[in-house]
Amino acid sequence: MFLTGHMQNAYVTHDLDKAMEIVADRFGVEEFQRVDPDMTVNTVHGEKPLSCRVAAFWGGGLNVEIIEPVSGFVDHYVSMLPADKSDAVPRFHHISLRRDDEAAMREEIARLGLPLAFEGPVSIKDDIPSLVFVYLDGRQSLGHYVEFTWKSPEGWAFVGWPEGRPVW
Amino acid sequence: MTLTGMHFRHFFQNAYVTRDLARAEALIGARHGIGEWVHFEPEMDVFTATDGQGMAHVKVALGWAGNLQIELIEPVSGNVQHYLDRLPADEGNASPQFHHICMRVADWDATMALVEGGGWPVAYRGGVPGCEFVYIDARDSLGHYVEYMWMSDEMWAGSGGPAEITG
Repeated sequence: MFLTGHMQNAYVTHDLDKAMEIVADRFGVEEFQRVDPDMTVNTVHGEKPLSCRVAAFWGGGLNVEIIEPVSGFVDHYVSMLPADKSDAVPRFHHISLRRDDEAAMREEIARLGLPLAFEGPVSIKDDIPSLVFVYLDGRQSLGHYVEFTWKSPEGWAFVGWPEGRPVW
Repeated sequence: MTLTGMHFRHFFQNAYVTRDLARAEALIGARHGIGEWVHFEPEMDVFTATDGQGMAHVKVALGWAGNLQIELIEPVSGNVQHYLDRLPADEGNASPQFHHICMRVADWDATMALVEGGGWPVAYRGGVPGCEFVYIDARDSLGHYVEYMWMSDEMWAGSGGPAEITG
């Protein structure tokens, strides 16, 4: 079942600071985890730089991520943003599915056959634990992107995986 | 507990609207491995912010992937403008369009008291025996609707709902 392991709903915004303010105010989010990844990703056009700003929080067992694309290979994020650049309201972008076996994850992705948006990181400037993410373009069948992600145990701890939360 | 403390607790569903339920099921089922869908076609007396009290007729399919429920909704007639607004302009496009998330709640009266007390805009409210639901219009804060739903344990089990999602 490809959609098993769902752990995250992710959004894009034109302005992360404003989006955090909106979400915090409306949904009572007291603290976001913040990272500003500056990395190289793999694409069908070869390796590309990608820089973005990211905020995330856990609401029960659901991780909510908000991404502001900054520069580089960000068209897949920008494609889901509103035309009005002053509109900072988050827009739904992808779901993320947890996998704990990277090789099996890659076999699954190959069987799924959805177009690759990008994957990585090939390299990243931030000091973070090991992780792999693969963004697939699921817009035709689901209306949005689908991310598969493998992380080391340290990586899951880094993103604050709730203690005792199973992988469904 | 305040509403803000329970916003995403007991999340279990991502919901989509489509112009053609059968074609949307085929798109998702073939690609994403949901083989069994539960179908129902309620005609309910509902409240909507756009049209007030009246009947709504929709076709619905529910499928599970782990503890995530995928809901597909094809609006048919009546007070369904909040669904129609999210459909693509191309009438031949049956691709699902993300519409809302849903959380199960245990105490319906307490939930509605928090919704009303917190000044949350109600976009859609209705129910059938064993189930009550309300859509909050969160388009100005999260880009989509947010649903809270109370369901009897019997109906929840019958829908394939995991026992650990208690509301």
